[in-house]
Amino acid sequence: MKQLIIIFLVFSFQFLTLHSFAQTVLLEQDVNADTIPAIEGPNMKNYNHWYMSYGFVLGNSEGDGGDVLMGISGEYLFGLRYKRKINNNLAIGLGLHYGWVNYFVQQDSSKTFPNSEQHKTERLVYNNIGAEGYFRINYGKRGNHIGNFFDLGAYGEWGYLINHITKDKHDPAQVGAGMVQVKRSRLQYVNRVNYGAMMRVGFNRYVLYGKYRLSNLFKEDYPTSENSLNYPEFPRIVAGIEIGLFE
Amino acid sequence: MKFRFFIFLISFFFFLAGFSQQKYWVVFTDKNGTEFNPYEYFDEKAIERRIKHNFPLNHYSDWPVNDTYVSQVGQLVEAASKTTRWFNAVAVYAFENQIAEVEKLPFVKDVQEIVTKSVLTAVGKEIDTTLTASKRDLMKRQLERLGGPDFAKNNINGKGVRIAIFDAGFPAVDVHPAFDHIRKDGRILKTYDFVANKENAYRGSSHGTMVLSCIAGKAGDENVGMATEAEFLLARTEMGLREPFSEEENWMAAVEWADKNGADLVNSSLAYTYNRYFRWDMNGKTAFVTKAAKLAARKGILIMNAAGNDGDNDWKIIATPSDVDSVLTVGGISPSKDYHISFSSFGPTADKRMKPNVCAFGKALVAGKTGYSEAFGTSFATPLVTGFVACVLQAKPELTAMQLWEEIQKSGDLYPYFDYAHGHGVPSASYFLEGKKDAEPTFDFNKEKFSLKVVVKDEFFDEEISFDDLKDAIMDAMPSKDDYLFYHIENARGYLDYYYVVKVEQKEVLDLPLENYEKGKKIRVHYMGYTDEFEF
Repeated sequence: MKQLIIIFLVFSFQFLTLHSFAQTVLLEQDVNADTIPAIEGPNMKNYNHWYMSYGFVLGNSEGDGGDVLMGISGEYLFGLRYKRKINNNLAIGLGLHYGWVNYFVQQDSSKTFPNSEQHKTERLVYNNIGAEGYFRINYGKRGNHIGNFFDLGAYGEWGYLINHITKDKHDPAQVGAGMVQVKRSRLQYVNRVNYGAMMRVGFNRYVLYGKYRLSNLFKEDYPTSENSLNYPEFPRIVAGIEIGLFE
Repeated sequence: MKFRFFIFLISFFFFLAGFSQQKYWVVFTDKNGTEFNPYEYFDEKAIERRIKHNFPLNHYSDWPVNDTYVSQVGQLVEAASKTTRWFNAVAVYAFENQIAEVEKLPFVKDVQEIVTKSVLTAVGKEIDTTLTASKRDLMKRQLERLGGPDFAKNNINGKGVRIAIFDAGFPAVDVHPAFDHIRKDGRILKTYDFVANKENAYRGSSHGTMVLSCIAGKAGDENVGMATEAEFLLARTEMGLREPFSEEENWMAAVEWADKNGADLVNSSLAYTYNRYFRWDMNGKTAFVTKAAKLAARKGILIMNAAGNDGDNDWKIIATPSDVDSVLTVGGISPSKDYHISFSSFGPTADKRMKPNVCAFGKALVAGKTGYSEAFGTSFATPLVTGFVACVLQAKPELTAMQLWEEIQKSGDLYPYFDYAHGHGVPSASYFLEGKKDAEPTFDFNKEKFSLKVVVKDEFFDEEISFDDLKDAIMDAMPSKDDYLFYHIENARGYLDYYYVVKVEQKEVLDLPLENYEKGKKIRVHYMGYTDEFEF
């Protein structure tokens, strides 16, 4: 037992002796590196933040046969926004987003989009990847936070996946299901690229926004199968609320 | 039609933009028509303090705000809130169009928006209520590190010193046994909840309860804080952790209240940081609250403020009002390592003044709502120092607030050395009881052809490893400051470029290539109580 203790002590001494040749820096601070003015922050030269939003499709369609149901038609957006501060009151910026827009089509006898057949629900769904550019006017004094602002800008979106989806009730005994959903893709009558103007009023992370689509959702030269008229253009306005995902 | 709707939306959004309600300070041009009798307004102790500090008893800043001005402004805005005599202003809630009308009033000098986020400078929360051996050990060491037992032996316990505490609430202070001795003597002189405008401040976050315990609490017969015989004014100025947005106006109102009621010291474990301010605003001049802190010092009140807990995040530096010159800013050290605790905010101020001024344990045993627990934060380092300062003021009542500020720093165990993590180190009671002893040189600067070496003197470096060393290494004994060498590089402009703490494990501690240091730069080294410098 004694031998074991001696061996242990010898090893421990050796460890300590070897260790004593090392220098241990416990705290190291470079003051000038710390005091380099930060250039990123909510009210700094550059700022990036994530956001998410929901907006309602508002207004009537242009033409008959394709009324959109307001209240349930809308868009979800998730995006990243960059802001470049010019001065305390003015900034410009860019953004990228993913958007998912649902246009629920009213089912009545006047419906012609995309045909007169009526369903339990019918919707046109856009899965968009988009970009935006904007000018921002900030108002009111603020420190290092986004503050109150008004944005005016333009956006463009590419619909990488556009589906026409219908749902109908069926007799389970006949088709083996109570509800049948039909999804049509690679639609020939839609424009994949859309663009428009937008504005936002923000109070820090909380933002009210509105968008006005300048482009048409449907190809003008694509005749309907039933009456050779263009499809009625769906409402151009989307307005809603956005929440900035930052502190 | 659609386009018209779009235009309507734009107009609506502009409407919203122009009509958002904000909070403002409305500053008046004068105090015409007001009357002031200092003998009626001030507590006797406040009058004594002013005489001691040679500050006029009848000072314009103490005159009340003109009520007519306040009511006229009140008619134009949504609501008028607190007034500040010191800055002759009233806080109001108003829309932008209303504030534009207010600005037109002939007696309105200035309007400033109030948007502030304050941060309680505590980390973590109460965990349990038992006083285990490790908690008891921490409680003992948090006072020993400052020399608390030496003050206690000399019956120095803050008797007669009046301390105001600004915090987020003081629940259980009226029932907790940790404060029995204070309540028994009726030494909680006044409380006020500036958030709810009520006298009862025994509510809200228990942060203030913990802070009070670090100044004057007891656990049985043992002291948690040093100033167990001091008198207290408790002000609830913050909503606490449930509501991060608070107003500097509460702090302002509280400091005027503390002044009126004769406070000698103010403990403020709050830090105002991002959202309203930038790092470069931490210059001791920008924030409204800094102006109040400065005026408090002129009126003879010494403010102890927590450095903040942003040392390990992006903000990193101290927060206002710790940036004010005359505030004693307190950083934190780790009880287990005896140097900077990682979250304690660093200095200097934006204009390169040294902060923090001193430091104490950033982990402390505290009395919370339901018992005793360990808590982390410069929030608790600060009241440990406040208790210490109260003891010094009891022992040396002749010291003015600014002399006290200076002497506390001189008592720091690193003094005259300093850095921006520790300031002048941990204040020491022995400085006030025995005076500063001249330290024996513990190291030499050896300048060689290409390098400067710092070598520990033989008598202060034990090359032989004793059985005790081995035992310490095996038992992982607590290191002490004397195991470390502190050094910094000061530039010709008088502020630090670099600073380090190094564990001394060999006699030749530093070997610095001369080519790396421009002429005019200085290295200052502190080891085992001795400080020396070398100019390159």
